[in-house]
Amino acid sequence: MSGVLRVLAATGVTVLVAGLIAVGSSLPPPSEPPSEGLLRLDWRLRGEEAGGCIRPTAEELAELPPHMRNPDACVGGLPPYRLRLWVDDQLALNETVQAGGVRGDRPLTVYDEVPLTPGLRRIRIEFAPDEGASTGADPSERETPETRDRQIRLAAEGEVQLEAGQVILAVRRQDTGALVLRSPVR
Amino acid sequence: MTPTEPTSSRSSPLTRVPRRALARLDAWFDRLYGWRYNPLYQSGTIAVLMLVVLVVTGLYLLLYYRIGAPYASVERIQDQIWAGRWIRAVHRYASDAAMIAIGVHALRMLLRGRSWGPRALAWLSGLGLLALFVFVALTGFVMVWDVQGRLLAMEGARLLDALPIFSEPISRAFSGERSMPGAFFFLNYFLHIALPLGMLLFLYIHVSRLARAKLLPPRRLGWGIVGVLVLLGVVRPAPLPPEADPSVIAHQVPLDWFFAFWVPVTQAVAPGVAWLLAGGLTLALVTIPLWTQPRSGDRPGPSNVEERQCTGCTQCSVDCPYEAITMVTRSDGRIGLVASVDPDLCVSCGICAGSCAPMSVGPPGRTGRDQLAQVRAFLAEKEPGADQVVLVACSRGAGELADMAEFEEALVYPVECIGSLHTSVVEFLVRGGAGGVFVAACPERDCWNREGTKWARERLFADREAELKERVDRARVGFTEAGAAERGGLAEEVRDFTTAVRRLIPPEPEDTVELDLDCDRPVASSVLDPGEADR
Repeated sequence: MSGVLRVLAATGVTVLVAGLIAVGSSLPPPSEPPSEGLLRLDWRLRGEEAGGCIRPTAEELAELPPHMRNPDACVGGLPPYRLRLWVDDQLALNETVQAGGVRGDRPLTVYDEVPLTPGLRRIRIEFAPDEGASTGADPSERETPETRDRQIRLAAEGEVQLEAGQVILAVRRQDTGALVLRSPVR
Repeated sequence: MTPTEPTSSRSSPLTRVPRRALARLDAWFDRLYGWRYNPLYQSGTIAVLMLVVLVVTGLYLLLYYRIGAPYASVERIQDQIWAGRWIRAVHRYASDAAMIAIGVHALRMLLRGRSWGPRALAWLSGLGLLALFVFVALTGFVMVWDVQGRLLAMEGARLLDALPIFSEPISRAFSGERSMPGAFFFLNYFLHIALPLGMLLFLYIHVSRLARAKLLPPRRLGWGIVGVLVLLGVVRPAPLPPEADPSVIAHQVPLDWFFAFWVPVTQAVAPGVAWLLAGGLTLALVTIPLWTQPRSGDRPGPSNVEERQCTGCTQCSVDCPYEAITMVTRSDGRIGLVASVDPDLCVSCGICAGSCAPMSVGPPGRTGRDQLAQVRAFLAEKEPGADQVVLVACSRGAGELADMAEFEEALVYPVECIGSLHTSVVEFLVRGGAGGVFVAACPERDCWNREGTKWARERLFADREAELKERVDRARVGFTEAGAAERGGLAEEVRDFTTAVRRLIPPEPEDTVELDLDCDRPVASSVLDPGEADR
């Protein structure tokens, strides 16, 4: 290989590798534009704010180290809730939500994404104690119909004009805790 | 007895084909860039150089990055800060180039069987370095908080949510319910700066078993690569995709495929499957030292030291590329030091055998004395004439001639590594009747055992200890470097050397070749018999 040819070839290989870096550094994968919108459900419910919280008994408090004896704490968290979502009066989601954590003593958390057909959609959401379901967690066995009645129920209803690729949120208002439908914030 | 059977011929078919492909690529790059600046040989040092470039350019970018307004600050760097868009581009492209270099480096080590035994530590620490580097890079992408940064964060969160360790989904942080908290960007910022410090530790471990570790490529190559990156940054500044927006479904997000290659996979499969794939890949990579090591019977043993013959000159300890030899107090009652090989560090390269004038050290069957026995048998069997050249070739590189008896009329004498060749073998061949000896080594930066080529050249021509004696006519000794797939160039050199040798006055073969095995290197506190010392 002659000197000039060698330099040309070496330059060509260098440019090729540089081009590979430039292209590979910022290349979208092949995909179709989204044909649907998205309803993102995102909220949490702490035992303390939900009402119907099961408080520790005096014996349970006595078993704890002194600095951990909080009579207002929730023991065993909340019993399960049922999440129902209707889109245009069709039931689109119907599931039980258990309290988080290994012992079920963490808040109830909802995080889900439901694809929706673009257009004017009528949406209704209900989040209420699940009648008849059991938590399986020992402390909640003390649950009574009275405690269950005290538990809060969340609901939202409204019409949204959804475009393909658009995301709508179902979240709780930070001030009132009510469930609302709104656009996400950056 | 024949010269040492090359390990290359014992490699598995699974690695033989890609190894040959790599050898061809090496040869091609050698022709284009010359072996000294062949970037394939320098992949490890190029990766380190890219890390240096990342630190330098990163420090500049951090001056202008704002945790409270990540995307806006990057926009400002891109549009308003002096050279900001170019420096950001170099930062980005250097990370991509580092990934290429790391990939080439790992592949080379794997295909050439340098991933097991004492080298397993380098393999495993290299994997740790790679994992840390990818993670640091991902935090960098997230710091920008463009559509790619958000996508990477959300995919990572989705995978983590599949693990039963969090009581609430991490993905909620990116739902758009509220603005991203500054703490999230502070965490990324912190990790992006702190984790590279951890990489330094891994790098230290990575090269800890190497003597005279080279961390940076030759200056011309290094500046050349940096120059290409700067040029690339000027011609095509790193793009800044739109700001992250949780109110739309991410679509056509430009990905940096060197780091985000996993995203399309995790998007296509369930998180559990993605974790299984990642776990399987990690397990496969981590266990490579186990499944690439030869069966116990085929594994070359570590070097041994014959204490009776060792003069304590320390040369083997100096030459060992893996710091496997230390000098310890003698145990045979004589005064002075003796070489001691740590079998856990010895890769059985045999370079110590080539460094030891009295032939007291070396791997089993490959010490200087073993080599003399082999060369005697070779001379008796082949009886090279005065017009014939013996081609002493590294069996792993140098045209891979191990299986050939002759090459361009030269008799082939393969050795495991040119660095393990005792110069007495060359003297024996010349004085035993061969017209000349042509030594073909691997390219210096591609020596299987790191420094074999360098030491062999110095022992033959620059009086390095265990040197070729002055009485050997240097006109009858040639030396070249050639890769495994560079037979063409090697053939030309062998022909030229043979022609030159044939022009010389034919030598008289000696019936009995007596060798001088004295060590020229001054021996500290001498190796003396205690009684002799008293006198």
